[in-house]
Amino acid sequence: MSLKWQWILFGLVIFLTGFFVYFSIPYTLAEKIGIPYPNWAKPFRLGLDLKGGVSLLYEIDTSGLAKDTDQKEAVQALRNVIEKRVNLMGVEEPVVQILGGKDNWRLKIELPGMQDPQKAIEEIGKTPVLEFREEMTQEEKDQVLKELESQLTKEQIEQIKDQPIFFKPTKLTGQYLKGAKIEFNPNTYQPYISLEFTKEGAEIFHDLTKRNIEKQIAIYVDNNLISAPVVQEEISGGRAQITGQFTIEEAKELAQNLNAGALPLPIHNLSSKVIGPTLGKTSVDQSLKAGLIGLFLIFVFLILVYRFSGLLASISLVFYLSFLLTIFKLIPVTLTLSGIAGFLVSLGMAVDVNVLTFERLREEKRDKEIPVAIQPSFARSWPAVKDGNFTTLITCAILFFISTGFIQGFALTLGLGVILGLFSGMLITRLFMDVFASTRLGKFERIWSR
Amino acid sequence: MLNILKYSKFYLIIVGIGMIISLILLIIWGLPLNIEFKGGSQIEVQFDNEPDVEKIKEDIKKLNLGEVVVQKSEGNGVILKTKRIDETEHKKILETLGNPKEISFENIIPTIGKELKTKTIIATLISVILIGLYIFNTFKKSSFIIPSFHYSFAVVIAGIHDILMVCGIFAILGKFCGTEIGSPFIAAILTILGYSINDTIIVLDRVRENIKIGSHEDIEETLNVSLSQIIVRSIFTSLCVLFPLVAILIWGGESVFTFAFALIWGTIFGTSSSIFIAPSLLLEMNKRK
Repeated sequence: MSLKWQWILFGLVIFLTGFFVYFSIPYTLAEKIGIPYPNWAKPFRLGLDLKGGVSLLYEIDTSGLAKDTDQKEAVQALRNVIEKRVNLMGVEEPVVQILGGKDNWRLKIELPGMQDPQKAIEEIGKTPVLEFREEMTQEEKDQVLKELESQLTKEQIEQIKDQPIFFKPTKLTGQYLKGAKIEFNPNTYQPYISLEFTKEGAEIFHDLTKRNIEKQIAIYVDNNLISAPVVQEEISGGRAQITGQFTIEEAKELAQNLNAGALPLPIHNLSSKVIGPTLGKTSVDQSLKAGLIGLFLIFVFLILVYRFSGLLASISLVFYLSFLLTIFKLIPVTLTLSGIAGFLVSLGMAVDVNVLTFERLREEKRDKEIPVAIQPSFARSWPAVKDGNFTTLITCAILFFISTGFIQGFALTLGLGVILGLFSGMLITRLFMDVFASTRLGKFERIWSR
Repeated sequence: MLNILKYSKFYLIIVGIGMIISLILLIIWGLPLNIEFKGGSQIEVQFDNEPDVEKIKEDIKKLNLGEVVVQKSEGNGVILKTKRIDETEHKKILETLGNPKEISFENIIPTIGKELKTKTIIATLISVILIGLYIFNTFKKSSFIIPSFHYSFAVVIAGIHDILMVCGIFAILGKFCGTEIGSPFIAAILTILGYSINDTIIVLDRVRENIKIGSHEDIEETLNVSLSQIIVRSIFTSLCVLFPLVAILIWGGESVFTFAFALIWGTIFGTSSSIFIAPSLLLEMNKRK
């Protein structure tokens, strides 16, 4: 590459560095110093451990699903409903995430900024689970009774046997509900709830009524049988009614809750955790301060030991850091404690790339002029740098794909950091050194290293 | 040239003893896992004035919640650890304490932590195997004096040593200082493993280069020359890694203290194992040639 182009590139890198630094300043800091903060420069996305908030974990009960239902689809539908509810709570950037797999599904909910887990649990859990069930055939009924025999006493079995009808789950659940409203029977003034299904729901309902003519269909809310009307004829058009012994208040509440999004599957709370905002806030500020002090110490050290080369490496590290932070903002990567850990290690490795090269430079410059010594120093440090960084990338890839949650965050920040560290250490530092070695500075061998 | 490997047998014996002690401590005491792994409830509150822990203990005892651990924390804070409690019990406890400011409340089942543990162990094992294979492959081209798998072996042993020693330290801390570790510790262990492997590879890379040049008398001299060339870099790099970690340890606040502490020990062990353990292993395995 000709020198002219190197200088142009150098200018470009410096310009970009300035841009990235500006872009990566935390919002609060910018406000404090009074730098204008453009709207398009998003703030960092902080994880719950740094920001404070409520973290909930639920178990999703898929045992009630008919065997041929697509579990993943049902769980996804549940997630969507819960997300709708969570969004109504007015928290910023909530996370609703499905974990696990077949027959063992979990739902993780993170509500940053919220401080009352009980209120959150109530808000999320109060939605009724709406289900439509159909009669079992005689064979299925016998099957169930047989299975129960081992678990229940004879008397209990006798009692159940007397019940004329057993119900089994169908595909039709709250997930296919479009809306619910309270209406009144014009003759008795008894309130009832009229349901409207989505297009898909209407089809399922049509099928369901068609195959159950003159049989009962049971409507369950939260596992309680509300009513079990007998189907007179197949119903198309996607409308149904729930009649039951409601008071007006009860009916109103049920309709409201159904509208807010009936949960298609039951969920059980497994754990709840509150992270106080004080803990989060102070740890972010303190970690930031500590990080800056540590960074400053690294720069001082590099400049003391490697002099002018150390200064160039420090600028290259500023490029690396601000670029990385900008990427975190743009993707955006949620910053957590473990993410910061990954970030720190990548910083150490980025420094190492420079140290390795400069130590080589010390050997090379014994018998070469600085402008000539730079190329072989980089070439000779490369195999070690490559092996060290590639093995770390292997670890990152495996951690990212095998684990979940915060370990994934760790792997992501470390991986991105390693790639950028390689780039800045091998190419940006190299560019800086080539550019300045070609000036008169290249003649003073002593300023390039201790 | 520094004759670092003069005492290679001695290093290996010391290291072996250290690893065995660590392992024994881990078997007897185990790691001090927190409720994320064990399950249970934990409440942290902050009082306006200095709280009386003994009185709190007595008051809580009256609630009949089984064994409750009451500990002082930062400032006027108190941490209570119990079995898994429900919301009424939670409210009762807060009432008993006189409704202080609640900083955090955790109610956790142990399965999550267990899953995390298994997944991490599996991921770590796979990456260690793959890294071993990677080293085996890259060092194969210049393996005419030291077989390629010896490098893999040395890197992996050095990594295991570093993790084992840090875990041992935390077993002791848990026993005597009541330190507890949560999921960030897993991130710390992974970080240490990553750093250790990276550092050892860079040292061994120098050995490989010197073997290629081939101007030294025997393996011991080659290793010593390589170590003398690389030791300055190793110390400088570990210093640069330690700067931010020490800064975090001092100024980072309590929530990241344990984390930074683990990483600092990991960096120290990681750097020293690359200089003392891995080359000593290579030497002892290839001495007769």
